[in-house]
Amino acid sequence: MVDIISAKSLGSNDIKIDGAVGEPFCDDAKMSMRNVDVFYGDNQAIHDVSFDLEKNQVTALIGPSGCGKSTFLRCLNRMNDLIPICNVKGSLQLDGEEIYGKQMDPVLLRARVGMVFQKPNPFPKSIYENVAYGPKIHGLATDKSELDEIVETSLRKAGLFNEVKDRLDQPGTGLSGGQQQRLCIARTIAVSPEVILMDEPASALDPIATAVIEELIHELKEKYTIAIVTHSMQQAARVSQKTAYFHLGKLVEMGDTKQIFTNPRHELTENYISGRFG
Amino acid sequence: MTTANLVFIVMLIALASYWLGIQRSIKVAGGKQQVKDLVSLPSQYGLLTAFWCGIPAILFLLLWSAIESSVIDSLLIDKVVLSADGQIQQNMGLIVNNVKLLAEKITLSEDISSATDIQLQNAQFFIALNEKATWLKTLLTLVIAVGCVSTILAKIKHSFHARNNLERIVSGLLFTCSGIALLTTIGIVMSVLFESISFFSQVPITEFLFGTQWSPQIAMRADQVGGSGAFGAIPLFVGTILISTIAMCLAIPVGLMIAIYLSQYATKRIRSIAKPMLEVLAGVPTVVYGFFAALTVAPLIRDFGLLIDLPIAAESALAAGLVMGIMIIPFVSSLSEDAMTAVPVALKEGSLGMGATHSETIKKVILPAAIPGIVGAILLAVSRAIGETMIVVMAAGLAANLTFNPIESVTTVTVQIVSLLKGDQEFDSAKTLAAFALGLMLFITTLALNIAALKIVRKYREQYD
Amino acid sequence: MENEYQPTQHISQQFDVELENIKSQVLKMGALVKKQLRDGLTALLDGDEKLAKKVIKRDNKVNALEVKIDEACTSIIAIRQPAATDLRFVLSLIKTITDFERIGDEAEKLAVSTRNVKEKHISEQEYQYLRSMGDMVIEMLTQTLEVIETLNVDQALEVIKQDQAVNDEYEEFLNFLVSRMKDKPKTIKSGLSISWSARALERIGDHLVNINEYLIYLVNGKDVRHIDLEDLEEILNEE
Ligand SMILES: Nc1ncnc2c1ncn2[C@@H]1O[C@H](COP(=O)(O)OP(=O)(O)OP(=O)(O)O)[C@@H](O)[C@H]1O
Ligand SMILES: [Mg+2]
Repeated sequence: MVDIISAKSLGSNDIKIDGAVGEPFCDDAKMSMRNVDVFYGDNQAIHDVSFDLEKNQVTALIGPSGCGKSTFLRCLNRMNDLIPICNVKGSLQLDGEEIYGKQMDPVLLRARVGMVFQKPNPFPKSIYENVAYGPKIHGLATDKSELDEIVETSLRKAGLFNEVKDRLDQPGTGLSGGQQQRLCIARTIAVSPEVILMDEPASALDPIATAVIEELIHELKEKYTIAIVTHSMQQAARVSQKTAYFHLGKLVEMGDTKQIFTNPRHELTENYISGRFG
Repeated sequence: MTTANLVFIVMLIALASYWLGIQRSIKVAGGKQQVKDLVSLPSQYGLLTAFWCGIPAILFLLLWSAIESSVIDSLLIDKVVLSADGQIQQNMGLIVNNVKLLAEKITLSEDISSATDIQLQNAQFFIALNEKATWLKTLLTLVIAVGCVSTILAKIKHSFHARNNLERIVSGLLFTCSGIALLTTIGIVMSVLFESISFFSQVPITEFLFGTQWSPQIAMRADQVGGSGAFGAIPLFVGTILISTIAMCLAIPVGLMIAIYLSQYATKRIRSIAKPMLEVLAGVPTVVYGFFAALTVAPLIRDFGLLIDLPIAAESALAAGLVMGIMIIPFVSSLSEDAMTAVPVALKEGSLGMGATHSETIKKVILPAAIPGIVGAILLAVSRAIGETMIVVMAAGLAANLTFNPIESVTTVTVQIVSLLKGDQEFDSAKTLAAFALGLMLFITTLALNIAALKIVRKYREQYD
Repeated sequence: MENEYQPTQHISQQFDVELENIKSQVLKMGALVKKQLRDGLTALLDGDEKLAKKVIKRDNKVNALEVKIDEACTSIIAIRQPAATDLRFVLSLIKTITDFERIGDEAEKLAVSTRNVKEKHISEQEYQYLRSMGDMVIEMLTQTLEVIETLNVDQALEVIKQDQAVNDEYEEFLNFLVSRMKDKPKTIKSGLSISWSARALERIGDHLVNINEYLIYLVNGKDVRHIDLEDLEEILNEE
């Protein structure tokens, strides 16, 4: 399988990344990032990354471990503010509003840009309280019945309601891993965000739970804009419409998922998704 | 040779045998290159040899020292009895002591002119005996040390598992150490328990537990007025509870706030300054807190009381409680901080990621998640407060008032124990024994609190690991 | 093709071995098909019925190889879930062997016609036409095998272009046959027979074009099927 690559006549030994290849930008962008640099102290984790998250689409961020996917994702709802040494430069916009601008309240931003984490992290509260947490904080429900309704619809959307409807008052930590992750998704949907960020949401789950979550993502994209970090190439290929490949803190290639997985333009992408030495 | 010197020498031998063991194992292996053929490392053979040399010898020394004096004494008594025709049985102890004193004088070549011949003879006998014993001890110790070393050296072969042997010795040592602590605890409990039982044979347990009068001083002499004595411990319990409550009222909120601040808000720099300061607070001797309470806080409170026309006792429960509260702040804060830091970052991020503010996150996620740890911390602090002595001794007074009024003088269990035991004691009077009964109560309470705290803390640990 | 680029390998070396294995099997199948084609043509032209029988019998081997490679590819897809180049590689080869198998069938057809044509006596002109078409197709097949080996896009394009010549030759031959049949209705029967064989050769050319298109897709990731030759060259030159 050696010859195909060489047949592409790629020329030199060291592979340069200057600017992303593919189509990082789109007309219908929910979030657009331009020339983003992220530093941890003196250590630069993200180098000059620019791309768009298309509205009502799933964008997968893939790349080798440590390439800065999580770092980048966490910039999108300013979770990086929690790390004192983390410093973000460049322009990140949500519907044209500057995320790191003075006008932006990170607390409100995070209600608009929700996040689902790698490890399911339900609060040590009941299932009901877990989902009701966000709506309560943001005052989304005026009375109990309204809150009940939000909880139910969120759990339904996350495909969990039927499994837990008889034990809403039991602790969320008592659910299985896959159920916990769906609970976390339900919790995130409950505050009706506009964008959902997912950092390896299925990495701790078995294939069935994974499939359920993937199906869920597929449905969620009707309403939300989704960015998902995953280490599973197959998963990225299955759930996303757009794929962005990161390498050493740089965006190497971005484009339609189909194209990336059948015919990537950049050699690094090719190497990564086909499991070759970089 | 003195025992200390002997121990030193045994150590030296052990050191030498360490080296010998290494050399021997290398030789057995057939050179430095073949060492890897051995089942254990040369240094392990060395250590094993050293242990085998040191431990039996020192054990022997310990045993010898334990029985030496009694054996010599009995030999001496036999001699004295022989020389004194048996009519001085009653004063035997005194005579033996005299002989020992004389012997000491002789060895120090002091003036011995006043001694009788028999005494001198006995003293000489004693000195000789001692000398013999010392020689025997030295000889035997060395023989044991060297004997063990040579046995073990002879045993070193290719297939000799020094590693496993060493492991056994080490675990034995560790077991012995923990055994010492355990035995001590059991000993303390037993002594307190037996004394308490004998107290309860004099004073009915119901009176002790439910009586509301505490005046043990009067009970000392039967001819005094009110000589019946009163051992109702309720005032003491109430005083203890009062002062502990005051202390906890101060320590819990302040400690928790500190914990929240340090674990959630403080920057690294502030934490690096504040944490050691808190630890200093925990390290201040309680007697210093006692000064502080008695000389600074109590007068301050009284002056303040005068200002608002409120008569406050010089030794008020308030002063003692407040200072005690300050003292236990670090206990509450550091353990609660640990509990809060142990709450997974994921939970915090989960909450913040949904648009909760920092304080909402703390209130609704972090505190509930850390509550078991915090409760554990508080229980430990309470048991510390109940057992605290110095501050209350100095600031709370001795009057056993049955009151819940914080500005009056009260006394606590620990204070009473101290006052019952200070001065001359007779171990059969109810007064002294009462101290043990109080001690037992205290012990049971703090033990229960500690067990509860540990249980809670352990349970909470399982949640996240 | 000379290239100083250091080849990269899969992290799983077993995967490399499996892919390499498939490739060599495909080449083996190609060589077998080429032999079938050559022998079938020879049998037809020389009226060698013995050889024809051999060819017909050997077609089983071609079919067996197809099944075997098919299975290997299926297992790679199931186990390795190939992506990008690897995916295109496996897909192209799966398709390639289908076309190889069809070429084998066409070669068998030539062999089957041997007896028919022999009875009718093949004329000198017919012989020439078939010979030249056959040589062209064999040359195309030879080059196709080289392309599978080297994955040289230029050469693949070359092969695709050659098919035009085969088609032209076929057209001309058909015209020749038709006009001869008009002149001498007696020759209609033999003419039809021969035209079947010519048709088989022409089809083989088409199959080879398909294969080369797959190979171009494999290398460039561009689907170049059903596209005019000029457009095709244009697309490839965009690179
Ligand atoms: N809190 C931090 N402080 C300092 N450096 C960090 C921190 N978090 C991440 N980094 C650095 O930033 C780089 C990118 O890390 P990041 O976690 O974004 O990688 P990733 O692509 O998400 O990897 P993975 O796939 O393993 O999750 C790494 O080199 C990492 O060492
Ligand atoms: Mg990550």
